[in-house]
Amino acid sequence: MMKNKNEARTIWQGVWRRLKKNKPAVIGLLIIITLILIAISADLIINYEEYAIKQNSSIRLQSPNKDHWFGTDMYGRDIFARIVHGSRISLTIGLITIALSITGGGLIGAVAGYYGGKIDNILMRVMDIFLAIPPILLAIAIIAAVGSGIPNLIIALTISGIPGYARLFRSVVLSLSHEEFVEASLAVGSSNAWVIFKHIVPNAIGPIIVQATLGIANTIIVASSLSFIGLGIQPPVPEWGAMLAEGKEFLRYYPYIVIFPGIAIILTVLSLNLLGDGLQEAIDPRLKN
Amino acid sequence: MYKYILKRIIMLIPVIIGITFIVFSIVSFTPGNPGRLILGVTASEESVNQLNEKLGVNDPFIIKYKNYMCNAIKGDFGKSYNTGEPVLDVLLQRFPTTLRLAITAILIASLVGIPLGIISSVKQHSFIDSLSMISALLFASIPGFWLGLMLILLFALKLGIFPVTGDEAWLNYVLPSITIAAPTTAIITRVTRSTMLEVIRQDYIRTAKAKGANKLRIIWKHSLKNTMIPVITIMGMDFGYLLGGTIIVEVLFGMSGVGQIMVKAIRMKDMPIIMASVTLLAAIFCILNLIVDLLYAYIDPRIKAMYKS
Repeated sequence: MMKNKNEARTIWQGVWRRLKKNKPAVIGLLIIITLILIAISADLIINYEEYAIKQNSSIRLQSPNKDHWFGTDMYGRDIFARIVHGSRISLTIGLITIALSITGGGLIGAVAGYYGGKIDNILMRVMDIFLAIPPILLAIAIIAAVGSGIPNLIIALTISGIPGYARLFRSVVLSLSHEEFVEASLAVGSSNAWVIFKHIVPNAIGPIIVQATLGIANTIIVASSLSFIGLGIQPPVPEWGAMLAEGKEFLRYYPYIVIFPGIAIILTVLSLNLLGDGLQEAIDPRLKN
Repeated sequence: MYKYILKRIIMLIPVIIGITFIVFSIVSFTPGNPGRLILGVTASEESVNQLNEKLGVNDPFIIKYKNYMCNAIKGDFGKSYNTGEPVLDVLLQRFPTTLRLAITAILIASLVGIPLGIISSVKQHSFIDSLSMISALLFASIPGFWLGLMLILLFALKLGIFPVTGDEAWLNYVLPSITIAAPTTAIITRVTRSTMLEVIRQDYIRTAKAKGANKLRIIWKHSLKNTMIPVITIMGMDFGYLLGGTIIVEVLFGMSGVGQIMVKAIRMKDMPIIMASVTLLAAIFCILNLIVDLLYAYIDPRIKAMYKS
């Protein structure tokens, strides 16, 4: 038992060692940690009601200056404050959506891959039909039915994310269930639940972490895109995509209203992608050219 | 080969029926009163109820779905709640714009992405390799709507080269197509590069080099065809995002395509339009994927051989 744990630790130490050498991935990780800290302490950085929500026509459309680092928008709200508080929304939506999709997709994929046969066939045919609808289109259809807003957006993105993860985890489980250690465990009479949680899940964790990192990045882009076309989060909530939708009328003379929230999205997504790619290479060194 | 194509086309039918079922179930969750939407706030309660009865609003779900599908086979997708126009006419009128956008975007992405990936792999670790890898990473992380806004700002508002909105002239298609193509180009570049790097290390490439074959010939004749299979797979997987990008870009650039009418219909709760446009876009996605599978068979002689007999 002890030996097993130590072995797992050395594997992760190896992953960490390889990740540390990958400069872009480390930069990505540092930016993400900073963003999470900003999101957690947003209220300490700048007051939400006072700067991000309250409209003040006397200071509207100011270009970036020392009082308002990123300028103010058409309602006199501080863009820096809105971006800082918006980080909470984007990161929360990304995290919750991916956690739910991976749980749902993982469960379906694991059941299908592990039991095989008829169950596998039925589950996967249903997933195939869902996969035949592009995820963003499925999310739009769900929003058309349930309406916009943060919880509905999370529901829509989760449902559209599940089929892809189900297929991914099915293939991971399928390849693992033919491994010798699984066969050995079954041969000595372990229960299915024991094999799944003791052997399959720990070995599938690597690909899960990679997919989660890249998935959060993608979710943040899709969520802000939907907010941008008015199907996600509605103003005055300072979601980054919604900020761009409000600001686009002022593009010609006040482009900073649009530029800064966009940079916030890119920075978040880029660092998650860098970290995800780095993790993938660190977990499976064969992938590196 | 024809048998294979036919088989794939027949297999498409249950998938499209499945899609309509899923979309119909989702859409029918929507609370709403179509009679009221069509007749407006001034109509009497009685006439609204009459119309709802005629439209079959209160029928059980399965009956509604059966009626919808029976009419759909005859080409009747209902009438827009909002304008009263037949849905089929609306979509047929708007479909060419979406198709033009998607095809131009796919062309741009492959014509830029594949050569860039090849150059990067042949000249690995060179300046051009680093540059294209950094831009690929960057463009995969830029949301389409923001890139579109920046292109409008620079090329339309500041430099005045391209028009801001509309879809009359081909000039209108330049900025939207580039916006849609950007993330796909980034992915194609990366995949082409990494596959090519793997392929040029294979024994048969070394053999070709050893017998003194021309370098361009090696790339063209021996490497490229083997590189194309993973690249085409990725393109197929990426079509979904590309269509998603098309929806966003149609709204952003005010182009009257299927995506734009769909988003408008969602705001107005115009169910027949939502149902038909979602299904149409999903069907396009399936057909694109079918084309990808057929391309496989065309490019890879091993797959072709499987269906020869």
